[in-house]
Amino acid sequence: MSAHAESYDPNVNYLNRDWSLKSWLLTLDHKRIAWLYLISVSVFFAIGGFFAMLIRMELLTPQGDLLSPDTYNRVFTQHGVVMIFLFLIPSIPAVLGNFLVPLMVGAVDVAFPRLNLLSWYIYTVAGILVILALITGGVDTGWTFYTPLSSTYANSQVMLVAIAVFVNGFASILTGLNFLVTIHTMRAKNLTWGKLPLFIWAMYATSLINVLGTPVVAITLLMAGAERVLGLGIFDPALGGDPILFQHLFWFYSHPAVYIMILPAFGVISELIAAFSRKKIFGYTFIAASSVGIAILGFIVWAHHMFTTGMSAYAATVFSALTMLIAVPTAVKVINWTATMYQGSVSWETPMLYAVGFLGLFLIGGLTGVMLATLGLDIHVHDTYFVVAHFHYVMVGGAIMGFLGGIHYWWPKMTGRLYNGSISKVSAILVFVGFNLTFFPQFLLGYMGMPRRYHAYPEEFQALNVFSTAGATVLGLGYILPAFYLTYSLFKGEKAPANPWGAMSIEWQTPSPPPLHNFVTPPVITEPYDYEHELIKEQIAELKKHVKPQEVPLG
Amino acid sequence: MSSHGDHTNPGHQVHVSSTSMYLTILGALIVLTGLTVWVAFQDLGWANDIVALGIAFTKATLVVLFFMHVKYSGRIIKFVVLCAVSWLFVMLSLTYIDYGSRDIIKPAATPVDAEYQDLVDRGYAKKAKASASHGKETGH
Amino acid sequence: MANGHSTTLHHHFESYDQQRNASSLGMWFFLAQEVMFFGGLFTAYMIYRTQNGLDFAVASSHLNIPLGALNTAILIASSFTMAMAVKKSVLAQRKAIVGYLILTLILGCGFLVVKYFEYAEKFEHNTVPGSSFEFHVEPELIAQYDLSPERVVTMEKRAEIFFSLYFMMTGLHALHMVIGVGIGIWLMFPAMAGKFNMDYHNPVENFGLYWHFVDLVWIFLFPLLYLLGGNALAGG
Repeated sequence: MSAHAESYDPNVNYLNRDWSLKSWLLTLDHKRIAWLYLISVSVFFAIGGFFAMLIRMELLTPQGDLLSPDTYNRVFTQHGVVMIFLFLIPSIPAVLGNFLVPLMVGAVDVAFPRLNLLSWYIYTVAGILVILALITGGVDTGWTFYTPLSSTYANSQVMLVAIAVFVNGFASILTGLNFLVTIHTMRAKNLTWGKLPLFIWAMYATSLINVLGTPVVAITLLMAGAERVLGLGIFDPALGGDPILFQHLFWFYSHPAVYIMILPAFGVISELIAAFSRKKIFGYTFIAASSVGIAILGFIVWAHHMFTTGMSAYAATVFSALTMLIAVPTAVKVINWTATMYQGSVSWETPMLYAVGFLGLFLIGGLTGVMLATLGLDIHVHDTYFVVAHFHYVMVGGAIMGFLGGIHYWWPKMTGRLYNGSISKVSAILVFVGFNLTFFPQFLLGYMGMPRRYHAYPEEFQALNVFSTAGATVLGLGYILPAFYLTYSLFKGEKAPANPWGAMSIEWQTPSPPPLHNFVTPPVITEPYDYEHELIKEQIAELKKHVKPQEVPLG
Repeated sequence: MSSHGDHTNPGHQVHVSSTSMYLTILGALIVLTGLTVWVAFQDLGWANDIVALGIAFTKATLVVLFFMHVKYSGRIIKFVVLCAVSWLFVMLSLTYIDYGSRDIIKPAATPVDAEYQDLVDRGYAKKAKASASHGKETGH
Repeated sequence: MANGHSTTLHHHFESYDQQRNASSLGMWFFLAQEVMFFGGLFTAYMIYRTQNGLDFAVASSHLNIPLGALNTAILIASSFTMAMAVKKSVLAQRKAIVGYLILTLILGCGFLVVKYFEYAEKFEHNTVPGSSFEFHVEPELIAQYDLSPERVVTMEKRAEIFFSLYFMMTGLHALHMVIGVGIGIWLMFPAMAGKFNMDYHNPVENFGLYWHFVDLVWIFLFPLLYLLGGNALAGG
């Protein structure tokens, strides 16, 4: 470390030390790999969003007038595949996680920088395969690839997409493996497990799922693919094979995958709420333990996706009961976040708006999850828009709110620039309003019996569908705005100080943007979220000296 | 940057096992392989699979503990081994509770079934094949 | 910190201890991933096996037990030579490392050759799943278990599932072996250059862990696939 300090030049950071394309594509720096991922996941978010808009346009009218049934199948499948595998799963771990895990544990880089870069290339190959499938006709099995539809009957590009998902799995396994080893072996001196930021705990839990769950979906798709291409008969009912077995194996990963998407968002929200309430987080141990608890419990509930498949009623009851257990660690988190805000000095900066929006939306998403876990109710609303609304409240209202909140929070650290506060607040509010307008009507639609995955519907459902499509337009605007003002801030934004929010975790102790090797001087390790600490008082005093008062975003 | 991490063997202590120990393990594994082949041709009734898997587990344990040095590794590596084995166990056992309990609770006949049976009886509908209930598109 | 280290210590690690810990922990997490990867196949096997015990036993009796046992012995021996290679790399005995690595690779290739003959036999007898799959239950078995013609037909269908699983499981295992042999050849260069010692031997150690893991998979595949036939049929 001392060697880096001697050669430290405050004008050179990880971004501007070399702008050549080669230095970016062959970089081993975790901070630059985070950028590679940020750009790629944004592209796929746009592609997935485009398909979402097509779906909403089609459902504006009861007749199937815009898309043919077959095209509609392909559109919702592409929407699912792109959003889940290429956006949600890598979004927070591979972008914010890559940037922050080494910084937050006080390390120079992740444990295996080459594997980290390899992970991005694997992801890119998967992305190219999906785009290739899209150009050559798309895939129509739904993102779940159920057999025998995927293995025998579908005549779309199932193999290309299945291979893409298989390959992409290894990108997330490598990212997860890297984080686990980094957190275990590369922590700074005195940074014990009990002092780690809650974001790190969330990333640890997520990575466990990545490493232990992802290979199962890989082998499952491999089996289905071998059935399709080589004529092997593993799930083939004609031979006595069981398609439900495919679903068991598929959901063994894909249910925990929900936690791969939402746990990192939990981690981000913990950071945001503590930082903008300027208070020691309430129940640190409980929040940390509940992350690991969710990761473990998440593996024993998967068959609640299969209540109507003809699985054993006894097993369905067991899985229904197990599923409700998930509500416990989740409620622990929500209650502790609320308790942290209670009597804190809350400042309503943009990231905090996302965090509070997250609390509301996730609460609805989580509670409807408990409803769906109830065996009796699930039979009725299974495969209706109620389910669609539920998982969008969790995925979009939870994971994407967390992602955007995190991006807004760490943007000054990543870029060294500040963005426009007013526009970003407007955009956060647009996302919240648009989201509710889009998806709340879908709860009602589902409860009234509108099934998912159809391109046409009876006329009595139209009013609510029009609401939903109108809401989607507002939501879309809320998502497009950040692309503009954040890009603008890259070039014209005000220079950011090291710690613009006056926050406590150690990544704020290094300059913005950080130098190549992350820290100039070894970071000071304190108790987690200790907002009474001398260090933070000094930093805030320093901040107030250097920035004009109206620009101090401390509320 | 000073890092401490979870040092499992501080200092320069790398465990080196003796060659004779490796030879002993090799011998045990070969003997167990012979045993498992021999026992496969004996009829032990319900214990057949248990004995075969028991021998396999014994062999696996020897490889993991000695060839892979887990016996001499730190807590974290033991934890990872435990994780892998228990996750596999969760997958096997929870999948099995579905298949193992399909006959415990039979779904009650629904009015629809009765109506359908009526149609079959009157010759308006064909009896559904047993496999037709499989492979429905579902999923959240 | 920048000076004084040889090239085998990567810059982001602070000591050889830390590098070694990170490296072997990473390998173990990778192996945990491998356990779950093969675990999917074992789950499928378990479900079908518990539902179609006799059918699987009959299908399994078409596998070649002597070749399977020979391969088990070959793999176990290669695990031993691999463990010795790791030991020698810690002791920095250059020639011994190279020697044991070569022995390991020869045994690994031997396994693959035996596997090749086994697969060729399956292709010859058309017991490869697909449109040309052919499987006939022996008349003695039909008489012994008093099987109805319908039961024989289902049994022949279940046999295709068994052989699908057989080829998936042994095929993926063999693929792991091929990759292992590739890595082993690649490791020969640093081994011959004498790069490995007490401080830096993680490549050999991790390759060893990988090799032992492949052996572990086979330790379970052998009884599950090859041996369950012998018993049910001999005893019945």
